[in-house]
Amino acid sequence: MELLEALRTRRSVREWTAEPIRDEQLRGLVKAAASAPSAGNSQPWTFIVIRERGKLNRLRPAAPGISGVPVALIVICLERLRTGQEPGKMAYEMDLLSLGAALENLLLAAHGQGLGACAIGSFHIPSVCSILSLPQHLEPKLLVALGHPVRQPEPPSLRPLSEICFFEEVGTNG
Amino acid sequence: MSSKALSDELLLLVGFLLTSARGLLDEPKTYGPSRLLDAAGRLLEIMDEQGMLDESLGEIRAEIDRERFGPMDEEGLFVKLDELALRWTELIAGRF
Repeated sequence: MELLEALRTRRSVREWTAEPIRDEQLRGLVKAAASAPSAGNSQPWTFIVIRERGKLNRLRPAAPGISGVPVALIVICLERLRTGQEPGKMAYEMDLLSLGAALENLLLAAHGQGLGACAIGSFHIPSVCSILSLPQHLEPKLLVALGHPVRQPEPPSLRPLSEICFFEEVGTNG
Repeated sequence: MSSKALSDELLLLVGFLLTSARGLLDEPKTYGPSRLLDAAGRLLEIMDEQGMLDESLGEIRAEIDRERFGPMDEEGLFVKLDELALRWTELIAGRF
């Protein structure tokens, strides 16, 4: 799939079939995510891939942002040992932006392979940490729910370019 | 659906409600209606698997699912919730 087409047609998919995703594909998604730019090449991430049905069933109620039943989840964690920064510090904010770049790579890679993905920010952090037995230095920041889409969702409404893009100064649309 | 499967589904639903309640203390205001709509869809799904939905209720379930799984649209959701609530009220009127 051509890149700009992928950017335009990607959707948040929240409903999946039961068809599993091959491990090779899942590794490919993580590889794509880890190719994202990061501040100072800090690569402040760890990705945990969940495929087991039992663990998925325990994670689903811990993450109310997941509406359907995904066949896999990728947990994107901030790896604090990489930078040792605290919330509120600039480097910490940059690390979060880096995770966002990794997330977008992952979502686009999934879309490019015909998979459907949805980024989930609504989850109960202590529950997720407990289910995954996460060490202290890993903070789960995002979940990506994955599977083969039941259908391609309708496009969302987007703000017009004239409202969000200006040339030289705010209010000048070019 | 076996009694164990039903019990498991309900346990998952309770978990969803609890973590939703906690999350909504911090999350954007519009997540609340979306979460409740999602819960309604989950309950109807369980009822459907129990053979408890007739055609009309099945139609409402399908509409709720379209909202649950479709793109988020704050303005549209308010209108849709009004429609769904009214339809539900009319649908169950004959039952009680």
